[in-house]
Amino acid sequence: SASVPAPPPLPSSRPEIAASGFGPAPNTLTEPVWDTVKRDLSRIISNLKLVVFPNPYREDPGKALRDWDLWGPFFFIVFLGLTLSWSASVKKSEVFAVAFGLLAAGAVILTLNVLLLGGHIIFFQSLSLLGYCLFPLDVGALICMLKDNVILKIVVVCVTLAWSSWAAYPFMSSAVNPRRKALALYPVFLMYVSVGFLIIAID
Amino acid sequence: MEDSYTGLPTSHLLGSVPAATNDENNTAKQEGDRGRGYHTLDNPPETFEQQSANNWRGVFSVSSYTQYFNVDTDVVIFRLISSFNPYGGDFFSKIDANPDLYGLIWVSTTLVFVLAALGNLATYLMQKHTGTSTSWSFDVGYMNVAACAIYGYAIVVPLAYYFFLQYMGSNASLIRFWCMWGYSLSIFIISSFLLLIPVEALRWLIIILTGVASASFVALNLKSCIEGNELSVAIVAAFFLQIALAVFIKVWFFA
Repeated sequence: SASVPAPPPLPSSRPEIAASGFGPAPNTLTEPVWDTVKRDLSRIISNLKLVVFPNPYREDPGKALRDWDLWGPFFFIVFLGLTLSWSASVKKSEVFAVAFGLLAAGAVILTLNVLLLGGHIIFFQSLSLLGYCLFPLDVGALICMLKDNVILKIVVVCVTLAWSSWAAYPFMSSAVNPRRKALALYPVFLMYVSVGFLIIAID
Repeated sequence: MEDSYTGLPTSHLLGSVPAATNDENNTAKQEGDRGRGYHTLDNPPETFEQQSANNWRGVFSVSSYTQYFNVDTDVVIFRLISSFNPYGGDFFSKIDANPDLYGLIWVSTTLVFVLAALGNLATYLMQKHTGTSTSWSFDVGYMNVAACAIYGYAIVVPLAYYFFLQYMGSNASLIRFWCMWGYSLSIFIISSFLLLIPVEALRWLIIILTGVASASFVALNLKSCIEGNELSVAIVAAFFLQIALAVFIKVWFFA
């Protein structure tokens, strides 16, 4: 009698759940939590390296952040809000609210600004990029929280501000018509300067 | 780059914007060089305009609003500089073909940030100057007050004037009002830097001068747009509202 051959053992031999396929493995819903976390963390780190550090893909923004995600930006925004809130001596929750609101709403508004100027970007990719570009300011805020010297704060914030702006520049400027480049870049600069000022000014 | 809008050839005739339609929010025209934008670098800034198909695709579609942001960097800078001139009275004719909301949004946002930041700095400098206390304290409440005051003023006052003038039968354009009032706030950004000087009399002098310049910009432009003498009360009211804003800025942020 012909017996049905046993199926070859698969690493995860459960039936496939027809959910969204984020990645090559079809059963991301049933994998160990550590695998998921590790995959997301490695994506965050690779996106961070692409956006914030010099690399050969910077000149082609579409390629640079093809595998965008929103976890990284979320962590960076919350971390910055928390750092500023810890640094403040009074009105801590109001400081967090202002920082978080400024950054989150700011990212959305900056993206809308580019779209309204007739530029071509993908909404969430742009949110992702603006969130990743906050990483230098996070580092700056952490340093300023640990060492409370005004001159040091000003220097650190200026350096990290320049770094953040440099990170965001290729993406934003290539998204719009070259005659409107400054109109798209100025609000980005304004947001980073206001965050930088918050970092220096919080006592 | 793909062109998602039907590109009609640009009409280079000035004055080709008809005054026939009242409902210009929905029939506003902003076609033009969208597809050829990268190549036509020699168009004069104010002649993008011609009557074209209705671009309104619904309240929640971003592309419906791009018609109000169809400006280039040089156009925005030109409008900013002309807003510093209180005697012109011709701002509406400069923006007539292509009013933009970019100026309103980003000038008022810059002003909110500048007031919050420099207000704190000015308070600190004044305290150090008068010797009362030398410790820096950052009041984040300045940001909230600045946002409410500036955004409230910039959005509500033109809206009120629009409704008032529509009620009085005169034909007004909300977008142009928002554009004009938005650019009128730009001079306060500069004066905020000057208001850092911790000399009280000088601060008052600066703010009065700035307030008068900005208010006369608003009033003269409003006058060029409103015909008829019965509405001159409205023009005077606009003048004093702008002065009131200037005084509020001084009193709250740079006390």
